[in-house]
Amino acid sequence: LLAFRQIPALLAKLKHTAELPTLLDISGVDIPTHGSVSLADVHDAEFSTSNTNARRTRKKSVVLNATTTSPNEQSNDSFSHQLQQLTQQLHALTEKHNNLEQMSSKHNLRNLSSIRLRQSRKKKASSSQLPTGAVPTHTFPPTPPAIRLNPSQWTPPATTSAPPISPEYTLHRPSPPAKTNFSPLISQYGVERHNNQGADARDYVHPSTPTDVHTSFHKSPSTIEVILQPIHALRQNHAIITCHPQAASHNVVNHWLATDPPSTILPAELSDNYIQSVLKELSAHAAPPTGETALHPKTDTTTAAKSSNGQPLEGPDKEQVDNNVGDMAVVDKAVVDMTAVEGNSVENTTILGSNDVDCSVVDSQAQCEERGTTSKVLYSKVMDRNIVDKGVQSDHHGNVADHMLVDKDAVAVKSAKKVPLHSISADTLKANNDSVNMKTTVEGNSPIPVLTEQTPSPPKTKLYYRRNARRIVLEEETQELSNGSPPPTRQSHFPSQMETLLAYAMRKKTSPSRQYGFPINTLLLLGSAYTPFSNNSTHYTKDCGAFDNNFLLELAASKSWTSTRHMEVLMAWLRTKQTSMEEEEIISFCDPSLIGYFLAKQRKFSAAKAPKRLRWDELRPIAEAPGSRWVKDMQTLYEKKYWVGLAINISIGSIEILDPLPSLKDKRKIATWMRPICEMLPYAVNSLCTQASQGIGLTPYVWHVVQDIYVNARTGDCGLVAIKFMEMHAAGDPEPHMFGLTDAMVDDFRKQYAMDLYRDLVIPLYFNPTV
Amino acid sequence: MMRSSSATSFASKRCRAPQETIILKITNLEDGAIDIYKMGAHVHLKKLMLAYCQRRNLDYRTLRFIYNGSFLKPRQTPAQLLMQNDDTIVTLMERGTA
Repeated sequence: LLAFRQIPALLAKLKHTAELPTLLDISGVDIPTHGSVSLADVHDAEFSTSNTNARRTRKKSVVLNATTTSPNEQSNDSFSHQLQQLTQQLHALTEKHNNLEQMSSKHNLRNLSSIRLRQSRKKKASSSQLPTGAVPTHTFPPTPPAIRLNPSQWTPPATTSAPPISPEYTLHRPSPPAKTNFSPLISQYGVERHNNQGADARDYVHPSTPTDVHTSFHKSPSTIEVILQPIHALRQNHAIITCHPQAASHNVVNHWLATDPPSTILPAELSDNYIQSVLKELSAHAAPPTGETALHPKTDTTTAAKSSNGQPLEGPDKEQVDNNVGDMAVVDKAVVDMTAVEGNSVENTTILGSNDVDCSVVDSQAQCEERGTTSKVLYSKVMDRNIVDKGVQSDHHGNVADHMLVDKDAVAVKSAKKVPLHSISADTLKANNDSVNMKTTVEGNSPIPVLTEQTPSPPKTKLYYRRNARRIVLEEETQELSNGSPPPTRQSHFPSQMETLLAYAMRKKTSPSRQYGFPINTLLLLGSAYTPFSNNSTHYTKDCGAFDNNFLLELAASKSWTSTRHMEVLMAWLRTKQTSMEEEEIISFCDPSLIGYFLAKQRKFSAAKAPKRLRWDELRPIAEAPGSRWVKDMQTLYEKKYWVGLAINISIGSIEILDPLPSLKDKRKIATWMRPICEMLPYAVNSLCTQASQGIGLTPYVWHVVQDIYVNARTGDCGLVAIKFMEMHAAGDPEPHMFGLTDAMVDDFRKQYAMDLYRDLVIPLYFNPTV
Repeated sequence: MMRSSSATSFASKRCRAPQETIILKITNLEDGAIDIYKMGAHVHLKKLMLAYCQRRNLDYRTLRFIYNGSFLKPRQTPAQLLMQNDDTIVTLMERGTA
């Protein structure tokens, strides 16, 4: 207190103290300055309630503008004056900032640095010349900060005091992003203000696609800022507002802006609670126009989510309904997802089967729907009430049956039936209000979602995609073959005179190949310039496929390589020759494709955790065919750079390898080749022939190479020799036995095979067997 | 190769309309790939084989098409073989020449 009393004396000693405001002038207005003041007076002056506010106000004003304010000018009701001063300050700072920017743009960097240096020097000089009692001036940052205004004292700008023009909003729907034909993640609409000059101001206009589809307001960094910024900003500029299903109250805001001029002042305090309160207020102002009430489906606050008995929903169910607003339309047994409204018609109406309905959505919304009623639509994607205002029929009326697919597996309707706008009457909409109500409710007693930038939630039809993904893939990958260009007609083959003679000569012989005696006359005919086979026509046989004369000539030529086709035809021919053992279904001849099948399935078999569960249905026709039944023994061919015959004894689980050249490969490589077959055969036999596999179960088969047989070291004969080995093995190894064959015999039975094929397969095609 | 169980039913043996189409699957056993073709029921299977070989960049002569345990012939038609929708044809590569 003593020090405080000494302050006036100290201030009096300073120079020019009478011209400058003192500290007591600023902060201690009611404090007496003379020294005869008692302590009680000081205490009263400090703690009196009447002076506290004045002192605080004075302090604030001093902080803000200490050099210009006088304590005597301050009062409690001078807030507007303060506001004007603040505005002037802001303008001055803005101008200063703009001048600096202009200077920086005009001068180069060196000049700018020199200017800044000069400015800093001036500032230092001015600070050194400041009087002791002066309060330094507050310097604002270049960008003006947000001004906190008292809502009760805010004066609307002069532009808002003009008579309000009844605005008209045009609904914009940008072109949707390139996605699938199903419901897009987000739908965007733009609301643009017009001056009500055109009669058709409500026609739909298609603006350009916004840059950021996930931003609710495309011209502002934040949705909240756009909503709560001064209203004239929205009045002067059109704001494109995203109609996200979860942010359907955007339209309420726009509608409020369109119909009711702002009468309240929006502060910049953007807390969540305040935003919600503001949005509630906005939604309360969003009452539909009087003349359009009949056209409105009850989608607003008046028809909040209600249960079947009319009671409003509470708790999470209602919230779930709100979240599902604008997502899909649930028909009694179908889901209608109106994904887009383009022009004056409804397109991309997706109709899903009843199996595809997300149960959670149905259950939650079913509480809003009267169960058992005949109304088909539970909800349609009418999240934008402007759409409803303009009478767009979202196909949620009685026309659902026209677009509903009866097939439950139906995927989607890429382009549904277009419903023109003029075909929709107000009565129709009014009559269907009851079926549409309580579905698009966002407001009401339910909590209003906050308009924020948010990523769109995944569509509710995700389940649908998952279930029908296979179907979709099938439709996408199906390649359709035209029926218009059939293959060219082939010219039928007519046997020549030589072929007729050859057929007659061969008919007289009785199965020469079975007796291992070679018909010399036919061989001579075959060898004499091949006159019967000069016409290289294709023979389409019944059991052995198609082959031509060159095929037979290659087979007859010695040391000629035998292809897979030769092996297939020969094995098929052997299968057709019913021997006594084959008739008893003891032995069967199988194609090389059997081994190819096993090798193709080797990867799947080795990767399977439970190989027994593998399906072998592809082999079932082979295993159960009457002519090649797997019972005891099986003869097949295995080709790994050269042909070998496999005699598979199913009853004992052993494989005999009839190798024409055993010394070509060592046992280790043979074991590598044989391992998949030995492992997979028991499973296949166990799956297809249960009786045949009772003895060995799933034990891998064992293999061994038959020794002491004819070794064919010539190239190209291995296939024919392997077939001859298998034929002799099936017949019980008759004379001259497998070890008794020679190279000359190989040349002969190659020709013999060719003639036998010609006799048994070709001649019946052109000659009557009875002749 | 595998045929549906309803192949022996009466519906499978009915006469097919000239413009009736059928969806067939072609499975390559080695890689498990499935190709789906939609073709007329009275169209020769050679068209299907050529389309598959062209799509897979394979030689037509080296492929074997097996259906119901037997090789398919180019002049056969799905109606002749009493094929049903979604029946599977198995392809195998030939083993080569030796």
